[in-house]
Amino acid sequence: MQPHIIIALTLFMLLVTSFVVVFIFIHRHQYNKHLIEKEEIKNAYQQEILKAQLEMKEQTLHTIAQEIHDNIGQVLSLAKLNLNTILLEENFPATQKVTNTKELIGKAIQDLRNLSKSLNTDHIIHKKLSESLKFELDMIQKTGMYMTNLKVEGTEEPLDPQKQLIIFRIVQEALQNIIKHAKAQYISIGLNYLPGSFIMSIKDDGTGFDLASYHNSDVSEKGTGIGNMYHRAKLMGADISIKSQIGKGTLTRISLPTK
Amino acid sequence: MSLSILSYLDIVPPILLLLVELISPRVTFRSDYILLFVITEALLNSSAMLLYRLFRIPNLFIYNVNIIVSFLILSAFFWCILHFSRKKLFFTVATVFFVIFIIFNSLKLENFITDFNSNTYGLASFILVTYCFIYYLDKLKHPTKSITNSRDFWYVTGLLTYYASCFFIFISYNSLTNSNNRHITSLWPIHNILFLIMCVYFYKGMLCNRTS
Repeated sequence: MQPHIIIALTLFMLLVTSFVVVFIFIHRHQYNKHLIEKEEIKNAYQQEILKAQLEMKEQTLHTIAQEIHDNIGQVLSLAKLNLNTILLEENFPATQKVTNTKELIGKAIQDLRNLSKSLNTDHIIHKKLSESLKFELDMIQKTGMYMTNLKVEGTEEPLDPQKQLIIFRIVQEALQNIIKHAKAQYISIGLNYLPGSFIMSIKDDGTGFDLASYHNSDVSEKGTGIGNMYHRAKLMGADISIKSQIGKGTLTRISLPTK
Repeated sequence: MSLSILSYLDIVPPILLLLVELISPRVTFRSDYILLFVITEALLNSSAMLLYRLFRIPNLFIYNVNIIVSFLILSAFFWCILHFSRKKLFFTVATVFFVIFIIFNSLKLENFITDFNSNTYGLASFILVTYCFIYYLDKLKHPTKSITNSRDFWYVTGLLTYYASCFFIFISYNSLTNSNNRHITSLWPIHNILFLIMCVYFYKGMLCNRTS
């Protein structure tokens, strides 16, 4: 073979190997594109599923709230009215008992009204977030077992109603967890309205928990509380972080872009 | 001037690569077959150059040693990165066949000391290029998310470019030297340029390793 033929063959082989490398690159590029598209479709599908689930839950809560307000509340009001119409003589032995019963029914009506407000979607959407949360914290403080605090920083601007509802439900879930498991004495919620983002923190001084062992535990052992919080945050495109140490309480932080 | 630069291209790039490797403390002591390959190339190519330039001693046997050592190191490299059924059998057969062929070639076809062993180079290149294609096939079948961040991909690409492109230079070099063809001096610089391209790919692979 002549050297010029060998040079030509060498260049040809270089061309072939370059072609192979380019082919691999193109294939990789297309495969990555395909993976991204697949991931996007999967995310969109999950978002839809989550949205549907939450809508169903909200609808159920709405129905329960209406039922409490329109039915049970009405029945109790009627019962209180009936008790008010009973004419009792002074020093009659049952007078004190009837008065006590009227007070108890009054308290039950008030508690049910509060519960109804807490469950009612419309009520939450039409109020400011800080007002809804203050209402929740006040209810908890009334039990006499907790000290609560709500701190608002920045100018409170109305959030998207759906997002506001989701944030409120996340707070409810966090408060439920604190009441059920944390053995806390102090609960504080912070709302921070920044330009372009909204940050909320829920803090307690309870027993805390080992987050690593929570993540490693079985699905059946986990419960749905924290999982629901993560799902809800994901649905509105917010970042959620939970920091907890045994004996040092728990801090839940949600960061939501607003622009 | 340009030709004299080209004649150093099989020595300077591997030495530069080694310097780059030595600067980074993280990769200095790692067990990396490509690093071993680069060291081998730097040592043997420099030795061949020194022997010829300083003492005028024929250096072809160093190149023959080079391809044997390189083949064994690169076989070990591919053994680590390739995963397919009957891998053990495939590698054993290829290596044993290669060793038998070297002995046969040295005894019957090309002298190990005085001739450039084109047949050995050709066979080694063929087997290594086959390994490279098996690697690509594996990547096509089982794709990883970012192949460009994989140092092995760049190493294999460098090896494929070098051994596939130099294949015809290798298999014809002995017969051309024996025939005293006056154009043969133009071939080795081309080989050196391809060697440089391989080193550039290696450098890219080393950067991937450092950043990943």
